[in-house]
Amino acid sequence: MIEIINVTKKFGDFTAIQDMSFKVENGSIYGLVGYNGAGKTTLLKTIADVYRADGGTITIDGKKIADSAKEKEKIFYVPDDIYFVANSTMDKMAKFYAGFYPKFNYETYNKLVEVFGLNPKKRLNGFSKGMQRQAEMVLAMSTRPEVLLLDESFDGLDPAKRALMRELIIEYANETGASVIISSHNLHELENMCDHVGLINGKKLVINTSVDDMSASVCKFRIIFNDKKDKEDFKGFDIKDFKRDGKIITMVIAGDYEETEQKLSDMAPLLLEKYPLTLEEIFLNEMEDKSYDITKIF
Amino acid sequence: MITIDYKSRLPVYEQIKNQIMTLIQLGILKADEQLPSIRSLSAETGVNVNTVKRAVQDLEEMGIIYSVPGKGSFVSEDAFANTRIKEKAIEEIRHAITSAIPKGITKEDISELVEKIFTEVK
Repeated sequence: MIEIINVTKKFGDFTAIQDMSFKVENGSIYGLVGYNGAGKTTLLKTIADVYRADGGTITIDGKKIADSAKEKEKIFYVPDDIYFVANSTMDKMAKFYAGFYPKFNYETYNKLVEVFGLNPKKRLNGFSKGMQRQAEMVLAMSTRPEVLLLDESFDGLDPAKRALMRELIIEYANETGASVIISSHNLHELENMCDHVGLINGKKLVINTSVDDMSASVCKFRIIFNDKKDKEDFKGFDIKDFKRDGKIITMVIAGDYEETEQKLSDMAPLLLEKYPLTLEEIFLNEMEDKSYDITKIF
Repeated sequence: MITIDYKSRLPVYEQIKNQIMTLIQLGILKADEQLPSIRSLSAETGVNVNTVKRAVQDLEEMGIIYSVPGKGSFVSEDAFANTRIKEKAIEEIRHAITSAIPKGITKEDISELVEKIFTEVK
């Protein structure tokens, strides 16, 4: 299990991430979400000890990772901007990583190369961006890390390879008990793959919860009454969003949705429909502070 | 006016059609009342204009709405009584009942439920 405790990272005067705490259990896949520039990469690089944290600690099974080569052998960070040694091939990179990761497994490597259908003897700078990402994933998993950090690793992959990657990550976490942290903008994908998610907003981790709890915690309701009602008529509900269009009211309400549904039904509406929210909708709701009038642009 | 269920497997244009029909049945949209423009429905739901157009065109074909060139779409006078709306509702009930039967629901269970619902509605 990897634990991030009150981690802060500054660059000079600028605080990139502040007081972040969360843990990822063995076999758990944690999705990290945030707007562009929110600090996902900074967080991942700090967890990988590429950046030294300015505050807080990171531990694997209770042992601090800072400056510990032994602990860091358990971590593999796949960056967004992939680095390969100049003119290298996958085979050369395998040798390179095997030098740093004693657990590097050539059997796994060869099997993965075959599964992805890549040519391990071809120069990596001749690969397309998508293929480079696939190559990096092959190399990453071959080091058999206990903690796998993926920074937007699905970017630029075709749907078939995305599906393959998802399956591999889930299988890997299940079989080896590794902790996986994956940052992505594709919430739909994360929703299916992750058991926990975190949202970075304003330098902090504002949401840190299991996907199931998140989906159950909030629900959208569409409700129509005979008479015109307004927000005041719904006291006793934890309303996150309220929209009224004539008699049609659309509300996002937090709390147990079955209870809420029953309470709303008791008010004898003409129509009551419930809409479970997707992860994307929940997060957008959380992050929404600007609304743009795009009709004025064109 | 329209809320899209992104978790539903039902295509978006079907959802739009269903919701407009429901609003007509509930009397929220009245005979000869003007519908919001296709552009505004598209902006409200974040859905492609062509998708909204398809829903509107289907409703027109069903005789539930009519369009006046240059002005927009309006609810048909007899939309409320439109059998297509009722047909769709009955289809939904049929589907719900047939999927409940393999789960052990009996005719008596359903009759009981029907009684209960209509007593509550009063």
